[in-house]
Amino acid sequence: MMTSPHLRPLAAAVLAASLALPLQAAAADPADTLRAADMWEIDNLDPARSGTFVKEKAMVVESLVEASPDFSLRPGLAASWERTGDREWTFRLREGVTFHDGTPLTAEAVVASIDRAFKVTPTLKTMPQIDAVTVAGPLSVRVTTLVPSAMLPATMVQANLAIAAASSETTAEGTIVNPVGTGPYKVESWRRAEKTLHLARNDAYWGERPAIAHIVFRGIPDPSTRSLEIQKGDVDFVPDVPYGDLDMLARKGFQASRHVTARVYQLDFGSLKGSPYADARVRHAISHAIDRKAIVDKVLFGMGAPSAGPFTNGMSFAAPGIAVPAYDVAKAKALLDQAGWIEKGGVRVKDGEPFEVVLYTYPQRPGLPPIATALQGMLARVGIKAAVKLLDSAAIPKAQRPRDMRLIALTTAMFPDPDFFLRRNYHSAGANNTWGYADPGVDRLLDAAASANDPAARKAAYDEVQRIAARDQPTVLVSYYGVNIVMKPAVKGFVFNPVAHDYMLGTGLRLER
Amino acid sequence: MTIALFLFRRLGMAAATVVFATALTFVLTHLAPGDAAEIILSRVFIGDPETAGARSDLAVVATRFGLDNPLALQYLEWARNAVHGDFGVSIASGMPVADEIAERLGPTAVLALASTVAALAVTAGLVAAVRLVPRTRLAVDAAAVASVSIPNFYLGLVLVLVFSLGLDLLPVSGAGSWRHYVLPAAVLALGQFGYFTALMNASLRDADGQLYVLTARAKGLPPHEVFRRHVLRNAIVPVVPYVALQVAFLFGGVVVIERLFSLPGLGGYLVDALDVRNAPALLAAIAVVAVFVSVANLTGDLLLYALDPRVRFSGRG
Repeated sequence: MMTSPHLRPLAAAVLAASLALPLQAAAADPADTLRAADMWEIDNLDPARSGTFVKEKAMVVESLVEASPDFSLRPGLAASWERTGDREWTFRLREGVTFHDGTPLTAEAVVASIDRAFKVTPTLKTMPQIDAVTVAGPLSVRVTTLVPSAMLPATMVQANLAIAAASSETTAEGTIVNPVGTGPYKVESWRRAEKTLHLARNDAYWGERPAIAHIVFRGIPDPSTRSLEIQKGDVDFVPDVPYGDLDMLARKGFQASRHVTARVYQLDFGSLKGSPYADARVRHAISHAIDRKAIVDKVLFGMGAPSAGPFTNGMSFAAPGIAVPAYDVAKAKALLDQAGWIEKGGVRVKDGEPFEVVLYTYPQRPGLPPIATALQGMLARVGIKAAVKLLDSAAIPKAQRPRDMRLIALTTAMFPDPDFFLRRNYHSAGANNTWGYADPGVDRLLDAAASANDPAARKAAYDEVQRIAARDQPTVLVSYYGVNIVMKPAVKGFVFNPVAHDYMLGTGLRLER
Repeated sequence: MTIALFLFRRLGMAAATVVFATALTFVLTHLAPGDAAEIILSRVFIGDPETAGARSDLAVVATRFGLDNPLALQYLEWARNAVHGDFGVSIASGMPVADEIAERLGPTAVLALASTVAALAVTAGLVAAVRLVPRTRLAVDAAAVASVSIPNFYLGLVLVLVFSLGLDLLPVSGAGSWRHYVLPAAVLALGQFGYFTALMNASLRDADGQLYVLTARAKGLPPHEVFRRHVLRNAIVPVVPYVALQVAFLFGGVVVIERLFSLPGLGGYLVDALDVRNAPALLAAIAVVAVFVSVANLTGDLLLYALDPRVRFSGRG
C-alpha cells in the first residue's frame, strides 16, 4: 500500500480527534444537568412565537397570570387583578421581581413586551379582543377590551404573551434570539447547529429555587428516536414516545406515565342541515355505536380517556353529572330505525338512499388514523358505511360534503376559560361551528356569560351549555387526548400540568443520580 | 468545443434550472389544497393546526406576507430580492432564511458526500472481488439486490439497535460531531452501493466484449493495462453521470433519515416549510437544492469531459 508521508501526521491528528471527542461528550454530563428532549426542533426562541417552548418547557419567561392543573387561575407575574370597568381590567405586578439582566419588572416593561407580542403575533390581540394595554402606575397595568370580557385574565395565561425584557437580543428584523425573562432558568447558549438549548438556574429567581442547576434541551422530532434515545441513556426526559413502546419502557425500569390533556377527539359532521344528521336521533345513534373504552384501551394503548363532555373531570369548568354516552349497539340500531333508516343487506337506506359517507381525518396526530379505522368498523355494525380518507387538515373542509364526517383533535382550552371551546363549537356564530348548530338558548347563555362579573353565574351558564350539548350531540366526542412522558428513574418530582400545550417542566424537578 | 464554451453553456442551464424549479415550486404550493393565509394563521401564529383564526387576522396575515398580490407579482418580488442576496425572513420562525439554510446545508452536504464516498468504496471492493475471483459474482449480486431492496428507515433502526443500544459505540441521534454522521451515512451508503455495483459490473461486462478490447489483447498489452486503459475507462463512462445524479438527489435532503437521526438537514426543512406554507423558506431551499443539483451534474460532466474524448470532440455535452 502506498501512503504519502505527508498524510501520516494528518491521520494521527484525525485519530487523536476521534479519541478526544467521546471524552468531551462524557464531560458534558454532570450530575446536576437534566438532559431533556423536545418533540419539535429548537429553531426559535422568541416568546411571542414559540412561547410554548420558551415558557412552558424552558421556563425562561413567565406570564402575568398562570393556571393550576385544574385550570383555575393563580397569580403569575401579576400578584392580583381586578375588573376596574365594564371593559377594563387592572393587573398589579408582583414586587421585587427582576429580569435575568438585573433590571426590575415594571409596568412599562410589561406593556412594551405585550405590545411587541401583539405586533409579532396578531391573534394575541384579536382572540381576546383587546383594545389597548397601558401603564396605570409603576407596578400597575391596565388592559381595555373592545367588548366586556370576563375571560380577559385567562387569556393572559397564553404562553406567547409571556414577558421578555426589552434588552432581549434580537435579529435585525426584530425576532428575539436570546430572551431575557424572569423565569427560574436563563438562557446560557443556543447552539443552533446542534439544535440544542443550554439553560442555567436563575439564582435570583423570585419563586421557589429550582433544584436542578442546568437543563439541556434537544429537539428530537421522531417519536421512535426519542424512545431509542432514552433507552440508550443519552437523555433523561422525553415526551410522547410511540404509544406501543410505553409498556416495554416501563418493564425496562423507566418511569413511563400517561396523562390526559385539554384536547378532545371529536367526530363532527359536514352539516346538520340537509343531511342525515339533521335528525338528532341519528347523531345519538352514532354516539351509542362507539365503544369509547375499546378505542382508548386497544387503539390508543391507554393514551386518553373516554369523553363525556368536552372538559375532563380534572378541569374546574367541567359540568358535573355529564356521563360518557353508553356503548349500546341495540339502542343505536333502534334509534336509526325510528329515524327511518332501514337496514338492507348491511347498509341502512332511507328514501332510496344508502347511508354511505366519507370519514375524513388527517395523519399529523398519530391517534387519528387508527381511531378513524376503528370508528369505521363500529359504524358498519349499525349499518352506516363510512370510507376513511386521510387528507391535510386544511384541505378537509373543502372536500367534505354535508353528509361526510370528520375526526379532529380539538384543543379545549387554548386559554383556561370555558368560553374558548363552548363558543367556538356550540355558538351559532362559533369559529368551528361549520356544521351549523344553532340553539338560541345556547347563544344567549354564552353571550351573557362572556361579560358577566359573578364567577358563580358564569359557571352555572357554562354548565348549562355543556348539558344542552350533551342532550343535542351537535358533535360526537370520542376520547380525551393523551400524552406520555418517559423519564429515567433518577428524575424525581415531576408533576404533569395539563394546562400546558404539550407538557410543562417545573422548579420541583430533582435529579437523584 | 472549448472548455470555456462548455462551462458557459452549463452555467446557463444551471441558471435556467434554478428559475424553473423555484417557479414550479411556487405555482404548485399555490395549487395545494387549503388557503395559505388560513394555514399560516393557525399553524404558525396560533400554533395549533386545528384552531381557526379570526377573519380580521386573515387579512393581516395576507397583507403582511403579500398573499393578496397576484401570483406572478409575488414570485417576481421574491426573485428580485433573491437576486440581490435577500432571501427574506422565515414565516415560521422570523429568522433570516439564509441563516437557517446555511445551518442546514452542513449536515446535508456531509451526509451526501460521506455516504457516496462510502458507497463508491464498497462498490470498488465488490467490483474488484468479482474481477479477481469470479466465483464471488453470485454473492456480490445478492448483496446488491439486498442493498436496493431493504427500506432505509428499517435498516436505520436495525443499525441503531446494534451499534448504539447494543454495542454502545455511537450516539442514537443528533448533530455536532462526526460520530453523529456514521450511522446515517452508513444507511445511505448501504442503500446506494447496490445500484453502483450492478451498474458497474454490467458496464464492465459490456466493455469486455468490445472489439477494441480484443484488439488490445491481441496486440499483446498486459492484462492490467488492457483493463485500466480500455475496459475500465470505457466502462466508467455511464456510471459517472449516475453517481452525480445520486449525489444531487441526496442534496435534496433525505427526510426519513434526517428525521430518524434528528439531523437538521435540508429535507426536513423543505417538508416543514411546505407544511405551514412558508414560501420564503421553501423557495430559497429549492433554489439552493437546484444549484447543488446543477453543480453535481456539472461535476459529472466535467469528469466525463476528462474521461471521454468523444464529449470533447463532438460537443455532445
